[in-house]
Amino acid sequence: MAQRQAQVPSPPELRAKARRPMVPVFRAVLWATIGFVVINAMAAWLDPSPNSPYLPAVGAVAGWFGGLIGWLLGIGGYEHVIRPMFGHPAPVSHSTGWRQYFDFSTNHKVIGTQYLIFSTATFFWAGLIAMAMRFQLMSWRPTIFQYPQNYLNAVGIHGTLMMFTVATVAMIGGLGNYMVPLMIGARETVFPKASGLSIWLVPIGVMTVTMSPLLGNWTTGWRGYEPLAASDGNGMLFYYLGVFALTTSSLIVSLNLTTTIIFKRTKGMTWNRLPIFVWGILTVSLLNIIWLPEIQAAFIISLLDKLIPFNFFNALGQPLGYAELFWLFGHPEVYIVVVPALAMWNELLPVFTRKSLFARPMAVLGLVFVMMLSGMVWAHHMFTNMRFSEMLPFSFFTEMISIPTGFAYLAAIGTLWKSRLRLTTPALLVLMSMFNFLIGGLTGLFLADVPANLQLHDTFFVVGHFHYTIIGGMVFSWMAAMYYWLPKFTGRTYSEFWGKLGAIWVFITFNLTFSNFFILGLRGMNRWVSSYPHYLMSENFWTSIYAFLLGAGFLLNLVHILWAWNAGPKVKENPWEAKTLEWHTSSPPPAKNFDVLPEVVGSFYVYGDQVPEPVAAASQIGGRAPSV
Amino acid sequence: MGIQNGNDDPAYVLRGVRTGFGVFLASQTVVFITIIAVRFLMAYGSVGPYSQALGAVITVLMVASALVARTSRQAVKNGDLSAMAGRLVVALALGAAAFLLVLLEWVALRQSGIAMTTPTLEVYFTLTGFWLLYALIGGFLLIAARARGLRVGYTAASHWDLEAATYFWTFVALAWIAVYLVLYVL
Repeated sequence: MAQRQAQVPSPPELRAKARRPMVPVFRAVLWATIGFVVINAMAAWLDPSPNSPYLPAVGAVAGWFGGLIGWLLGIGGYEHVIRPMFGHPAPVSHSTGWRQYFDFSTNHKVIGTQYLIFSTATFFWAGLIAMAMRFQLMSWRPTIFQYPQNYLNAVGIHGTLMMFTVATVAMIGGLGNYMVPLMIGARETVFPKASGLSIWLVPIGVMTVTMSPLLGNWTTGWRGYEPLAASDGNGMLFYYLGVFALTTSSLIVSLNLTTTIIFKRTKGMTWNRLPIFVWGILTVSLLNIIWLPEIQAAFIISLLDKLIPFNFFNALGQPLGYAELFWLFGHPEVYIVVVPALAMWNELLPVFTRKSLFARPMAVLGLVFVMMLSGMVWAHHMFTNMRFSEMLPFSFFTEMISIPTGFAYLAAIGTLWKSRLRLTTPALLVLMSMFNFLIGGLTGLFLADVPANLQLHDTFFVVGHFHYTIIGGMVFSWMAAMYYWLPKFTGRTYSEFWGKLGAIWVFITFNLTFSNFFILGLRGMNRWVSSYPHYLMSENFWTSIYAFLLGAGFLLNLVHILWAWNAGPKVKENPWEAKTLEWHTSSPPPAKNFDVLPEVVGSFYVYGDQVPEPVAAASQIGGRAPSV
Repeated sequence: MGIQNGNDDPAYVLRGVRTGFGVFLASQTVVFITIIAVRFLMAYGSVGPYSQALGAVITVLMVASALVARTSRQAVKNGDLSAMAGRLVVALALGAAAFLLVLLEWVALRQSGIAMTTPTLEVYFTLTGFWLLYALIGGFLLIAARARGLRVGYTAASHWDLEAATYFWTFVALAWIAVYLVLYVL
């Protein structure tokens, strides 16, 4: 009898067992649906719309916020954030294996991996939309997009997702969350709960932008330009809301990483010894903290323009005011994308050349000055809309910003100079990224120049330029980082053959695709058009073929990385013999990162025969037990 | 800036959290700066037909509310949780009065027959609407901080939740002062 009683689970255990099958993400979907339906119904009842009785504009927006709150509470915000705020104990999450990636987590490595998963998935989803766009452009007449609005909506979704979910997220939310605490010798971040919630804003943002055409086409592109937005369908509302969710996620990441870098550095990790990648993340985090609230406010005002409706930025108000507010954020955004890539080059090159980083202080200063100047160049996007007297200062500052950018570039060149580079896949991708970014930078000089800009404005030349900087600069560096840190993520490595094949494949097809954009632009191919003069068709046809091959190349790299992640050959610790702190713990890292917190005693970027190790051995620092 | 060494000293950890929260509040000033910039872009220096007296009363209420909320921290340092709870209720009541008076001004403006799309009114509704949203969040934080204090018991050394709520509430009060100056005075 006693034995039988012992086997009977107690009520709390029963409840825990009963709850287990509900993966939090399913509960979040359920609560979000309830939130959306209930709030939308209430709004529709309070503010009935004869044109759209089931999903009026006000109801859609109010319902979206109801859905957002339901989603965040359902994913774990209720138990982990709201109840503890009122004094109830926070539960301990026991999720392991695949479940932890569909749950609320405070582990920065899980959160970083979640960001990487969402960024990668969105990269391929938005890339698929780009393939559809390129399919359309194979012919000078409408084919799969029967109406120009459909095509323009696809362009807008592609750009919005790529910018706000991939370009500004993969290296900051993904690699930043995963690697920064490891690289500074911390066991956790300062705001793990906020970070655990922030990741779950990404899928809701992506879904919102993707589903936006259901409320009506919007044709403004990722910039949400007014007064075009005022005449677009209600899908525009979901553009604002989706971007609001995505930028809020990035803002939380930036606040968390900035505070973590300031307060969680291990002993000896002075500012002078801070890894270059961490400097890159810190500078872009500061940019995010300044500029994301600015664009969020501008978007909410635009949303009120459509919803109330007000006349802030439509044809009755100040459309140029919107453009100014957008580019005040929009150009720093470019550096938010690129600076981590520049930092990544200088992080990797000393490792693969076994040579000290050239002019390290200048490389760091370059990143900092890019950050500071990035808010002073924005109006070069609006040369067609301003007085001549206003053009000169913005043209000047735009050309000036190439100087600090050049610092970071020249640090990489100086490191490569007379070195014996180990041409591994990450090193190859860094070289490719440098080449691509050089093309992007040089073509940027043309666009900074007013007479050339006025001719090239809104042509494919501009599209080629920014794809060279963003895909060519950032995505190639992201891939380099993924291959470089793969042994750290998993304890496994990749195939050099397939890695190099994948790198060469995307490099060639990328250059074939986007160098053609320059030629197309110079020959008169405009942006934002789904049909074009017949004489451009042959060029466009072949550009599309190259673009499809580029898409296949990215897919090849994805499959290869996934294979290596799960089944790649096991590799020894620190296979690159790198010096930074993330390599001073096991791979994959344990839950609290370090058994004994490391102590930094020298620079990570100085190489040579007589150079002492930059990290003190455990015996030298007393083998402190982890205080976890 | 201090560098940690596996530093689990609560005071050091709190310093990091406090700084992060301060950076967050600083970032939120950008929201108000942006809307204030739009206000001057749209309505230049025009002052709308809203009640100057009501604006002044709301300002006084919010200043008083923020000051009372701050004294709740002192109560915790003195070990007097019931005083903390009482002062938070007073702060909330003053804040709620300010909140309702802003809504009253909204109703009065709607009833005045002036088109909502007049630039000065668009700016008024937007700027005060943003403020109402922040005030709502601030009020929620004060309620949560009070409930937590009564349930788990704050100590002089450990009352970060109350601190954060009152910092946020002070931010809300300062934001109103900025809104008042921009809309009613300048």
